[in-house]
Amino acid sequence: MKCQKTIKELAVSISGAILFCSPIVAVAVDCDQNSSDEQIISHCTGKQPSSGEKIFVDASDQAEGWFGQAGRSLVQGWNDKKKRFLVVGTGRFKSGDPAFDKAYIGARAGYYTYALLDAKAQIIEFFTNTMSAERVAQIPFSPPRTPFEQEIADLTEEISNIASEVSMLAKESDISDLREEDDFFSKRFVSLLDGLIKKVDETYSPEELDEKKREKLLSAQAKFVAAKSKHDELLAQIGELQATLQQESRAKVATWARHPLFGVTVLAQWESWNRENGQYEIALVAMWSPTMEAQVRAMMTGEDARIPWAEGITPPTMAQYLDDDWCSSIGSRRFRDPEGLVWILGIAADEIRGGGTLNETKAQEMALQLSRMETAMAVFADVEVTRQAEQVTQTFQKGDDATTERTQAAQAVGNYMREAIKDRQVPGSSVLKNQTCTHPISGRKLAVTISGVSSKSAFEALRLSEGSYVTAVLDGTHQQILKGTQAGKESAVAKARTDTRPAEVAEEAAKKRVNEGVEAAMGVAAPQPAQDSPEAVSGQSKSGTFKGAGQSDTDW
Amino acid sequence: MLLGRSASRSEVTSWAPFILLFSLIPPGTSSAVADLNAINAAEIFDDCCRAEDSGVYETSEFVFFLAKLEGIVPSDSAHHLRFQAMLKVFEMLHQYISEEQKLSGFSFTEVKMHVLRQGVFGGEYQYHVAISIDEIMRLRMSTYE
Repeated sequence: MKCQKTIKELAVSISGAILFCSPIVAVAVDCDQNSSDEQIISHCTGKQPSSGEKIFVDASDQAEGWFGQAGRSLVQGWNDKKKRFLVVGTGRFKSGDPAFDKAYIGARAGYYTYALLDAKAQIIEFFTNTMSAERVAQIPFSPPRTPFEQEIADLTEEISNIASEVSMLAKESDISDLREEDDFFSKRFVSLLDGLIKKVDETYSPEELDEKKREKLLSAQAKFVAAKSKHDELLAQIGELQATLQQESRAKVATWARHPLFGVTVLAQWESWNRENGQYEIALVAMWSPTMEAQVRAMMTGEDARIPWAEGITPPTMAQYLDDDWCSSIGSRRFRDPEGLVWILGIAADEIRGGGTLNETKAQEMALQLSRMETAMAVFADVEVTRQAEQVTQTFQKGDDATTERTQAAQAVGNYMREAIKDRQVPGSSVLKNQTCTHPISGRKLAVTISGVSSKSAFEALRLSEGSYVTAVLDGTHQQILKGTQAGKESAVAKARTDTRPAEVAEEAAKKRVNEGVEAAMGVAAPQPAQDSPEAVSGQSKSGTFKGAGQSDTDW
Repeated sequence: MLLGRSASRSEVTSWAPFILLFSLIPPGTSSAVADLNAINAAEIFDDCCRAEDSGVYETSEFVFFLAKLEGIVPSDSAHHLRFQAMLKVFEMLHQYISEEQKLSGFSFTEVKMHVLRQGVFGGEYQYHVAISIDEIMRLRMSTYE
């Protein structure tokens, strides 16, 4: 493939460009067939470093730069001239060191899936996206009652009871300066209460004040002081926590899209890992177009939908295209062979853990299954995406003091993306390549499998499938005939065993023979015996020869 | 007898592609209308508004809402940027629908739209939406009912 050649040439002849393109990261570039050396170099040199400076170019930078490569005028979104929709999907995760990170291989595959789903989600959101949204602003009329508030209400009641008790006692003793309007929580009340106790002490005498009343008064004072202390403490806490909510606004937005999607393929894909922050990034450029949709529909129906090459172009063969290191590739690709047939390829990998052929076989089997899934999902998938987000803004203030106003905001964001195929066949999918290689970033040994399907292979598969069905139908028919024949034979035997007519005939014949013998002996002529009739009867077996299905000649 | 069955073979062969066709193409695949509307919106957008700044742009068939978030940094989460942009579009839509009558709280339910562009482009997050005039009319009707 031309692009991979470019990378190899770059590595040899322009090693500097490659070096500063990936100073601390392995970059896997998988371009389409139109990429040129100049384009790659231009892209890699898109960020001009000063002498000796190393610039980190991560995967998403590479993806963004891909659109602006020299000679291209690509834009993300719908391109009216080219009649196609291009989109970038990205996935990021933290990996301390991919070489030792046990979860790395799974995370790489998972975040590739995320990146591709992200791209597909953007495509279906282009087709139709449904948004529901709500914004509410309010000044709370009645803030929720908290346990603090409940406690403070109980304490207020308790204090009130104590205060009434104190007041009653004071009146009875005629020693009070309390007035009805006195607030029991005011400083005045506290000082009056203190004065009352002092007066009781000063004026104490058995004649003037009952000892019991004095004890009650002192007890009430103690309870009152304890209750008021707790009351003040709770009021302070509530003031800090809740009672100062002045205003609140909430905004909710939710979008939903679902669409059957045919023929989305990945044109280019990158991976990067930044040792400094441990960020592993996967980015890809995905494409949907009516042409590709028609191609995969043709694959599913077995139509010939080849796209001829223009004259003067020598396109790569499938063998040339596949003759490369696929260790950093994953997902789906499209390829047009020299006949103009469009192929959808699915690429998948699994780590070969430990040595031995058994581990390699296991990894290959896993890669095979995943590559088939990639092919199938590229051909068709029912894609669904739901995005939800909510934002709350609250403004607090302590009492009437405007200088204490503060605002807090909180956000919650959620995404749900799904693609699925169910009870659907992708005919003609076959394995095109198996490869064992070393992943450039993690250094892990991988088994890579590439599966593919084209309209021609799909058509042939359908035809073979039809042939098999015809054989199966004929086989079924002949099996039924054989079954009927056998049943007929058995039925004839059973019938013969239970049929009493021959016995009756034989008996009659025997009787006649005996009678004839007797008559002959006696000189009397005997009557002729009756003939048995073997005529076939409806619902009974019929004689004949039938050739069963599945018989084989001896000449092969 | 085998000769007699050859007719069945041709029947199977001729019908199989159609049977497979109908069994393979999923129900609800008549997406052509949605696709065409989206493509139509994108083509009109290219002509009128792609290079414009944040704002609302009207044409005879669609209203385009362009939200752009500037000054983003690489550490910003793509999810949160998308949400901020969606909120901005929602705010624009709110103002566009309610321009003749100020409303306090506001809600939209199931607004059909085409998201023409979403993502980071040239250091800013862009979220471009097209809503058909028919859908705008529906929203206005439901808002003032």
